[in-house]
Amino acid sequence: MLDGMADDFFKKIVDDANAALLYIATSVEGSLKTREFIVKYANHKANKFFTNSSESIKGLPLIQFNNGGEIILLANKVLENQESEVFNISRIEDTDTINYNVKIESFYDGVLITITELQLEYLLDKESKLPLGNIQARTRELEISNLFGVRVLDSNDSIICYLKPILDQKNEIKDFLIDYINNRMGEIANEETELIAGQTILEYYPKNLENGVLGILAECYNTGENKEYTREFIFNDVSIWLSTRAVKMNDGLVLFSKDVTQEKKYEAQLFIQNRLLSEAEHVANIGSFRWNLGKEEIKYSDNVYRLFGFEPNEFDNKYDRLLTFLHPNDLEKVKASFKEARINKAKLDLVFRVYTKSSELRYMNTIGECYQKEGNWYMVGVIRDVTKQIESESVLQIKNSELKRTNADLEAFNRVASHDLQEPLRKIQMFVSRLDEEEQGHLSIRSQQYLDKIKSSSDRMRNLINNLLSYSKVDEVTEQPRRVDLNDVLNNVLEDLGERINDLNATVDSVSLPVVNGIQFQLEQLFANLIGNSLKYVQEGVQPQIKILSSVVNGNTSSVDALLPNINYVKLQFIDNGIGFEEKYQEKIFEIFQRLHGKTEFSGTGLGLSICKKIVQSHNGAILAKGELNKGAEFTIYLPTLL
Amino acid sequence: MDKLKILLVDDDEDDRQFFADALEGIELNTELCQLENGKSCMEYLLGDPENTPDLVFLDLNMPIMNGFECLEAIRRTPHLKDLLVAIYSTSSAERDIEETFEKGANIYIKKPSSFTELKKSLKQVVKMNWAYHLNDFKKENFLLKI
Repeated sequence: MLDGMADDFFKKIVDDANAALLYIATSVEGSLKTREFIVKYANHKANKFFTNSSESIKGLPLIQFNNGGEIILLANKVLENQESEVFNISRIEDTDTINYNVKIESFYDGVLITITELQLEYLLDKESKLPLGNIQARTRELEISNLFGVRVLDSNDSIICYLKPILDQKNEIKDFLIDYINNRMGEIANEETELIAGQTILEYYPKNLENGVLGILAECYNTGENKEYTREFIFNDVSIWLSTRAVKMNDGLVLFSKDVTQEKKYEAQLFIQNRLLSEAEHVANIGSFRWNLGKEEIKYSDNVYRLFGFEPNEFDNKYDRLLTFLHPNDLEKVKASFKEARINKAKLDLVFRVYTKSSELRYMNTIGECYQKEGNWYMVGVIRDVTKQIESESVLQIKNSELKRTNADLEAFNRVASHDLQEPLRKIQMFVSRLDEEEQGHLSIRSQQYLDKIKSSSDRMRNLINNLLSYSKVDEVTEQPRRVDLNDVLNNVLEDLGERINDLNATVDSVSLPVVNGIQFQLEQLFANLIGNSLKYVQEGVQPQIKILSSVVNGNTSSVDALLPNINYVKLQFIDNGIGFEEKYQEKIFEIFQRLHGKTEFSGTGLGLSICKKIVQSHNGAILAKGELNKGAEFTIYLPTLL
Repeated sequence: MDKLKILLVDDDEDDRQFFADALEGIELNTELCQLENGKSCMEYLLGDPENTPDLVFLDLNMPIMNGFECLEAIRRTPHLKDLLVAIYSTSSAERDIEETFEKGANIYIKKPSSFTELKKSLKQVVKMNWAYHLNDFKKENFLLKI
């Protein structure tokens, strides 16, 4: 242990002592009774005691020297009992009988042996248990080694120096001379150690004045009190933090300094991290806590206090104090959860209401987990202010229930429209048709016109109801999409519209169409509505022409926003030469009940294109309209291709 | 040939009147009996085997016993299980049509909104009924939507 540490300074101190000082340690982990001891350190007097010369006994087994055997026996005893042993030895040296007092005590991993020559006073005072005279010197030396030992033995990396005060005319300390300094200083400061010794501390490091070091050391010297301080030093532009302990010894000071630069760095990092954490908590409305579950105090981060409307540390951190913030209705719930967590180390996750300092009601969410460390159970966790989330959640719930009501209303409406509205209408139409049949030729021209008006109005109404129904039913389809050949779809529609196409002498030209995934009857309705529109909004004196084109585009390359990237779409274009529409209406025409034309001019319910849009959307596609007044209209449909 | 015996079960008085007038209008040799709901229909049919008609027109939405229940009751009765039943309803809902066919209806007629159409439909059904009786058509070939 002392290897490599027996620097000159230490040697000097112990060599100057009036006692033989010896540190021995077991060489091997042998059986307890036969422990061998190797000399790890011996001062000058110790060498002399055992060898009668100044030859070093360091590193040698103690057994081979005078009195070595008996010391080893007692050293074993000391190690076993952990109690010091004191005994006297008489020796004949140069015809004189000399009495030695030997103290053996456990010291770190080994045994410290102090051997003091007993003086006459002692022999005259045999009754006394207290050693006298030079024993005091021995004790001081022991004190020194005890005092310094901690640092010297423990830390290889300590700077050790010995300073002597320099006094001014008024007998006050103006500086200290560096009488001795070990190599460590040179290593740390990257300088030649030999150059440091001999300088004063102000010569070596002038800032020792302003940083208060000189003052501290002067006080240490004057009062004899030990001093500790930590300062930053800049050596060759490198910042080094030294933590120093100063002890007065004889006519000087012994300084032990440790390089704590790394610790300081970590400390600074920790400080920054703590600040960051604190700010993050602040921003996120989060506080954290740590709770030794065996105790009543909870350690909060600053933001916990702020969450409750307080300044950091403003309220006491007792568990019971926390409970006082709670909304009365949540108190039992929270107590039960915490109890469960404390007893069963259960995970904690609960939302509760609290009243803040200003009596504001806030919702808090606490999440905590338990862990065990050094026999204690702790819970660490966070507290979040979730008031906003809870509030928006409840708004969402209200909206949801409103939506549900709206949906229920819509369903009720559908029922009314499909049955209750249709029934009386059917009766009206039935009676009108009977009236028409029975009174054929008997009605006045005007009455017949009225009857015809009733007929056309009720037809329109039936149409409207049917369209409304199909609009609201687009989403109701439970049928699974399957492969639909659009050529079949087109043929079916053309068959249904055949009569009108013939009447108008219209032409419908189509390229061969692809197969898509979809609901056949909806796609038929889509085609029927689009082609039906083209047959409806025709220009007078122009033969209606309808062209249907088909191609494939990729969502990436298309400029249509509604298309998803990386998906291929079938692009269908329905182009006619009808009355068209103004460009500004190209969005509006898909809105429900939007009619661009007066109902007398063109029949329609204003729902056809809304239904088209709904159908296309439920097929994950898109529909666009393009038109030019009196030139024609073009509807483009995008449907995902088959994979 | 005997008169074709037709039974109409419908709670709507106007519709019964339309039906009777239309049947009269098509000038085929028929005899019509009208009842107001499924319950009175079953009482009539089970009361006397002589009452069994050639063809039943059954409305769906009726009080006391609706058309679906009445149809099931007819099919549960041994001597009525082959009776020709035409559903005569305002509903055009696909699931109603499916359900009645599953329960054993032969024909589904949606109540039309024109008297002329009604006459046309009835004519078609009555004529088919004759074909059914004369040629011993298989029932499953007779599913008809009008």
